[in-house]
Amino acid sequence: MHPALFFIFGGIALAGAINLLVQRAPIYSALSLVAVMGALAVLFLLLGAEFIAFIQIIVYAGAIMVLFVFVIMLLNADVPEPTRRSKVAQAIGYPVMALLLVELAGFFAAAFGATPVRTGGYLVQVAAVGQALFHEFLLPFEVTSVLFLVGVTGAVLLAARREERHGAAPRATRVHAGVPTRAMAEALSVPPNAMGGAVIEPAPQPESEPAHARAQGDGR
Amino acid sequence: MIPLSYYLILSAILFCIGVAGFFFKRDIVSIFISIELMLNGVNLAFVAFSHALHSISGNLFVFFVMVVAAAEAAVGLAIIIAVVRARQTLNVDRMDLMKL
Amino acid sequence: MSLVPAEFYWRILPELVLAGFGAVLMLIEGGGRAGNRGRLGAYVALLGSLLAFGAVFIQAANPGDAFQHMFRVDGFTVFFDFVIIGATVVVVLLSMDYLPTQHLERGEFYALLLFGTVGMTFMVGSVELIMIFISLEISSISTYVLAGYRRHAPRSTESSLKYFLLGSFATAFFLYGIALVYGATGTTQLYDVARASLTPIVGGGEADRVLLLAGALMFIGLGFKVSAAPFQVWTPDVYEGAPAPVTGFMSAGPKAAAFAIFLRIFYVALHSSGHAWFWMVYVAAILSMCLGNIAALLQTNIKRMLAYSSIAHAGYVLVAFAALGPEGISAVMFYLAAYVAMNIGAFAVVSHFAHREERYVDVKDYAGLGFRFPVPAFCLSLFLFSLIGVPLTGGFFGKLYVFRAALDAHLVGLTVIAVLNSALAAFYYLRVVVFLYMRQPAEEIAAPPMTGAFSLVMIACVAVVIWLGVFPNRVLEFASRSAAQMLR
Repeated sequence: MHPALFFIFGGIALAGAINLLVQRAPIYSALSLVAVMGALAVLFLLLGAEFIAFIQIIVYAGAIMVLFVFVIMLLNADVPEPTRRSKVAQAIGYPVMALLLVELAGFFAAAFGATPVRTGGYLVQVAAVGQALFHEFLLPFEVTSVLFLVGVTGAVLLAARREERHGAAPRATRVHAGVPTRAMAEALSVPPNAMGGAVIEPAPQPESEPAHARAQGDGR
Repeated sequence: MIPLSYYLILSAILFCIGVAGFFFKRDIVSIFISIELMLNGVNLAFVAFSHALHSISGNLFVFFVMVVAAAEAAVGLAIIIAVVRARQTLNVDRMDLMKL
Repeated sequence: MSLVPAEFYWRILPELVLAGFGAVLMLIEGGGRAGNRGRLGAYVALLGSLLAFGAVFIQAANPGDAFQHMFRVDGFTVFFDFVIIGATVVVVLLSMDYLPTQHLERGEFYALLLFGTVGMTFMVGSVELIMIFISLEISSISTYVLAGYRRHAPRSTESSLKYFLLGSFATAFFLYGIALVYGATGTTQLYDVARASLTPIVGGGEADRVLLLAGALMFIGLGFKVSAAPFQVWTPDVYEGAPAPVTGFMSAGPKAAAFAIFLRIFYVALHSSGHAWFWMVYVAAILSMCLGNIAALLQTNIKRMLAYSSIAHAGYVLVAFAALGPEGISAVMFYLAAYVAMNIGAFAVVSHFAHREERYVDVKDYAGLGFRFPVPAFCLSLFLFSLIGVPLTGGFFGKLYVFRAALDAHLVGLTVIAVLNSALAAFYYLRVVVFLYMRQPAEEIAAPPMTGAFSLVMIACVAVVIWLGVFPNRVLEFASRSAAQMLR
C-alpha cells in the first residue's frame, strides 16, 4: 500500500515540478506548484506528519499560492519573450544540473538507503506539536511575531496605493509581456508617464528617473 | 518497503528543479515560484528525517519554514508589484538599469 | 506548565526593547498627526536604539543560556550586540539627516530598522539553527523592504528585487544544509551537534560526507549574505540602488551578524569537518579580495565602488576565518567592529553629498569638495584611510590582527595575497581623496547644511575609528576572551 501511494503521489509531485519548469506562462507554473504541494501533503501524511500535511494545504497551498495567483492575475503576467542568451544558457545549464542531480541522488541512496520508512511507525499528534511550540520552541514561536510584523509593514509600504500627488488620473500602460486593462492600471495606480500619452513601447527608460523627479516637484 | 533515500532523492529532485527554474525562467514571478519549489523540497527532507529519527523537531522546523515562506511571499510579491509599477515589465532581462 | 525564569528576560533585553519600540513606532504611524509623524518616529527610534544599547550592559551581566539552550549570552553575543546596535543608532541618526531631504520620512522606515536590528541581535546570540534561520530571515526581509524604500525610483525597486530574489535563493540553500545537519545528528543545537555522533539512519560509506555536504550548502547560503565571492553578484547593484543610509546599514549590521553566525556554525557545529570547509573559505577569500579590488578600480559611481570595496573586505575577514582558531575569531571580531564604523561613516558622507534623488554619486561630483565642505570631506578622508589600513586608524589594527592570525596559522600565501590586495585597494580610495582636495569643481553641487544629526554621526564614527586605532588593546582583549568562551 505504502509503496503504491509513494510512487503515485511522488510521481504527481515530480510531474508538477517538471511542468512548472516547462510551462512558460507564470499562471501555469503557479498552478503546477499547487499540484506539487498537494502531492507533498499526501507524502507528509504517509510520513506521519498530519499537522504539517494540513497546514501545507491550508496555509501554503491555500493562502500563499492564492496570493501568488492574485498577483499574477493583477499584473496580467503573460508569456515572456525568450532571448537568445537564455537559450544558450539553457543548453549548457540543463545537462549540468542533471549531472549534479545524479551525483546528489547517488549520494543520498548510499548514505540513507539502509533505513526503511514504515508508515505508521511514527505519528505526530497535533497535541504534541502544540506542546512543543509552547515549551521547547517558545522563543522561535514568539520571535516569528516580529517576522510577521516586518512582512506586513513591508508589504503595505511597498505595494499600497498612495494618494496621487499630481492630481492627474492614472493612464493605462502596457505591461511589456501582456495587454493590460484599465482596471489593472487603476489598481496599480501607475503614475502618469512623464513623456505624455499612452505608452506604446515601454523601452528601458533610464531617463524616467530624473524626469520623474521633475514631475514630482517639491510638493511631496 | 520504501527506503528513506527515496524520499530524500525526491526532495533533491524538487530542489534541483527549483534551482533550474531560478536560473532559466525569464519572468520574475516564475523565478519566485521556483524558489518556493526549492523550499518545498527542503520541507520534504525535514519531514522525512523527522519520521526516520522519531523526533518532532523536524515537523516544527517545517512549521517555521512555512511561516517564513508566508512572510517572504507577502514581501516578495509587494516588491514585484513595486517593480512593475516602476518599470512596466516583468521580464528579468529588462532589470538592467544598473550595469557592471 | 513551567514559567519562564526572570533571567531569560534579562538575557534578551536588548531585543525586547527594540521590538517594543518598533511596535510603538507602528502605533505612532497609525495614530499621530500627519505632519510630524515621521520626525516623532525618528526621535522615538533614536531613544529606542539608545536604550537598547544600554540594555546590552544588562544582558552582559547575565551570561548564560536561555529558552531551552536556544539563545546564549556570552562575550561573543555581547560584542556583536554592541557593534550592531551601535550601527543602528548611527543609521537612525543618518536617516534623520537624509530622509527629510528626500521627503520620505515615515515612521515605518524606523520601525523596519529596529525590527531588522532585532533579527540581527537574535542572530548573534542564537545557538540553535531554527532560531538562526528565523532571525536571519527577519533581518533579511526588513532589509529587502528598506532597499526598495524609494519605491518611485526604478533603481531602488530593482535593487530590492535583486536582493530579494538572490537572498531567498541563498536562504533555500542554507535551509537544505540545516536539514542535512538535522538528519545526520538528530539535533539542531550547535553545541549538541558538535558533541553528537551520527544517527543510526546514516549508513554506508558516506556517513561523514553528509556533514560535509551540509557545510557546503550552508556556506553557499551564508556566502551570499556576507557578499563573499563567488556569491557577490548582487552587491554592487543593490548597494547602488538602495537609499544611501540603507546601504550603510546593509553593509554593516547584517554583514557583521551574518559573519557571527558563520563563525558560530562553522567553528562549533562543523568543527570536525574543518579540514574540508577550510578550502572553501580559502578560495572564497582569494576570489573576494581580488574580484572586489579589481572591480572597484573600474568604478566611477562611488556607491558601487564602496560596494566592491566591501566585497574585498569580506575577503580579508575570510582570511582570518581560514586561520581556524581563537586568534582568527578575535581578529574577525575586531575587524568587523572597525569595518562597521568606517563603512557607515563613508556611506554617511556619501548620503550627505548625494542630495535630492541621489543625483551626486559620481566620483567626479566630489571634485573640490574638500575646501567647500571641509568637515565632511575630512571625515570621509579619514574613513578612506582607515579602509586602506593607514596606522592610527581602526582599519590598520584590523588588518594587522587578520594578517597576524593568518601567519600564525602558517597561511603565508594567503597573507601575501591579502597584503598585495590592500596595497592595490589604496589606489581607488586615494583617488577619491585626490578628487576631494586636488581637483577644481566642474559644477556647483548644493549639499545640504550639516544638521545636528549628521554631526553626531560623524563624531560617533570618527571617534570609534580613532579609538580602535589608538587604543585597540581593550577591545582586542575582550574579543579574545569572547572567542575562547564561544568555543567552549
